This record gives sequence, C-alpha cells and structure tokens, in this order.
Amino acid sequence: MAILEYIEETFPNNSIKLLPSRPEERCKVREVCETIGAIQTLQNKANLVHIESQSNALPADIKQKLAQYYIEKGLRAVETLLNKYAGKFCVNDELSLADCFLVPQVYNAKRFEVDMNKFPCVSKLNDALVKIPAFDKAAPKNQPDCPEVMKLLV
Amino acid sequence: LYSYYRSSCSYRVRIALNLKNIEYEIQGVNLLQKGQLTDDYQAINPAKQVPSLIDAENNQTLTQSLVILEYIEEMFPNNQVKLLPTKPQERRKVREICETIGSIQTLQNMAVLLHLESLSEALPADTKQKWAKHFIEKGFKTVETLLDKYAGKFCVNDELSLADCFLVPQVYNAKRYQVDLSQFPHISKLNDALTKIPAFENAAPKNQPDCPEEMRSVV
Repeated sequence: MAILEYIEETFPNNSIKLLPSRPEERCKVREVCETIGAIQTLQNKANLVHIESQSNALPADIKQKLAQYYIEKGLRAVETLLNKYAGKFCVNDELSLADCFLVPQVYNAKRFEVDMNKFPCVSKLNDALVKIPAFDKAAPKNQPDCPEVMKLLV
Repeated sequence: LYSYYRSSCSYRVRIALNLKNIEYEIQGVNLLQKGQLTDDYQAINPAKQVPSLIDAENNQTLTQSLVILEYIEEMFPNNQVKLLPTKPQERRKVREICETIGSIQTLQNMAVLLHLESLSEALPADTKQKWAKHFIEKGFKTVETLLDKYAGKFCVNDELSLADCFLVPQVYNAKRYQVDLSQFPHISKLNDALTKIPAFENAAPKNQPDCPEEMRSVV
C-alpha cells in the first residue's frame, strides 16, 4: 500500500488517477485496500506454514482450510463494501487502488478453491478488470519469473 | 469513535484525534461481550471490528484504523501537528512503518488467536501467548530495522507522524504478551518518549471511559 500511494503521489497525472480527489471518496478506496490487505496477511504462505508447524495433531489440509476460512471471511466484508461503493469499478466509476488489490486477491481465492459464487459483486468486477490489458500483463502467468511449466497452470 | 479500551487499533485513532485536538465521543464496544457482532454494529463496520469513526458533520462512516488516520489528516491538515510529511519520499516511510505494524496486529489480534486455539484440542495451553509473541517479535525485528534507518526524535525524522500513533499501541500489545523489549532498543526508546506526551497518555487503555475499574491498575 505504501508503494501504491507513493506511485500515485509521484506520478499523479500519468494516464489515470488511482485515488479520487476528495477525502470522502479516498477513504472508500483505502478501506477496500486495507480490508483485502488483511486477508492476504492472514492467508499468506509463511503464516500457513507456521500454523501447520504448531502441532502434529492438526489435519493434513489445515493450510488449505485456513486460507479458505480467512479469504471467505474477508471477502464477505469486501462484498458488503462493494455493494455500497462500486459502480463500474470498485469505487464509483473510476479505476483506483482498490481494483489493484481486488484482482490479485481473487487470484488467491481461486488458488485455494474458494467458491466465488458466494461473492457476486467481487466476481463481476474481477471478470471486467482482468480483461483490461494493464491487469492481464500483470498476471502471474505473464511474468518473466514464471516458470515455463507453470504458465498454463497459474 | 466506536472503540474498545484495550484494542490497539482503537488506541491508534485515539492518539491521532488527541494530537489533532479533535473532539470526539467514545462509544465503547465490548469485545468480550461480542458487542462487535450485533447487526447494528455490523451495519457500521462490515468486518465487525473496532475502531469505526462516525464523522456526523460530513456524513461519513469510516472503518480501518489507517484509513481513519489518513482521513483525519486530509480533513484537518492544519490542526496542531501534521501527521504526514509533505514529500512523497518521506510519506512512504511513515506508511511503511504503519503497514508493517498493521500486519503484526492482523496476525496477533484476539479473534485470530481464538480461532487458532479452536483448531485442535491437541494444541498446547499456551498456544495463544506463543503465537502472539512469535508474530510480534517477528514484526518488531522489521520495525526496529526501519526505525534504525528513519528515526530521529520520532519514528520518522523529528516530527510526530502516523507511525508514532501505530507504534505505541503495538508496544502495549507486546508487553501484554510478555515480549522482551530489550531486543528492540529503538522501539523501546521511542515508546518511552512518546508515552509521556499527553495526547498519547490520554489515549491509553487505562484512561478510557470503558475501561473497567478493576482493570485500571492492571492494563
């Protein structure tokens, strides 16, 4: 988030503004970002691996289950926010940092087999956003460090 | 401000409101009695967490402590102190510290600890304590490195900022989980200086209207 805010402050006039001008709208963008950021903090690999290491008594699928739990919990909050704030994009009708946060989290959700039908607003926005070239180019499979064998899987 | 006296996220916002000399009313949300899970409160905060800020004058309902802090700073840029530097190159240092500390709290808050404990009866009795300690120490190592680079009189250079509002409540949590703070000299030194400032002292858990009498000498 610190990087995104820096980019927006350093290049305010490049192509598009990724934060609205008014504080009352900016806070909505940030709220969506921080909510999604918290999901990722809880479901990232380092955290899941640490949990798994706590006890031999935990089930074999604990990492998957926990990731699903935290993603679903967080996306429920995100779905509510988007119901309030979304227009064409996450907040009103302009692209913002919130859209930059949403697509990667949906990617993670799918990776952990979260049922995205539970989140219609999230799903609809994601479907529209991933078609935008800037988002497609940023996708994992299009990265220089994506192993050849993974390009079809991710 | 919907706040729980012991919530470090609420504590951050209380500090900032005090520093900016903004008048506010505390609505205590009792997390032990699941006050955050009521339908009424969920309408205010979909994530069912504290804090939430209602800015009635501008018809705004805000959630997420960093969002609230950025809003306060944008709405009241000239009150008392600026809590973000002017230049992007300095602002990102403040945000970096805030986000780093925010991640610590996300991993060690009570809801997460309780969920963890519920995963298996075979987990040891001190799992919550160990877990909180692990993530606070891990995060504080990073914070200590950042402060080593950025700190002057305060977390970033010589001016108070949102980073200071984040640091003190996290040190409060660290002490609660018996983290050995002598490992973190920059954090300790800054915390000692900051907690003496009235705006910080007035925001402390023991000084909150919803702090139970019997807890005032304990927290």
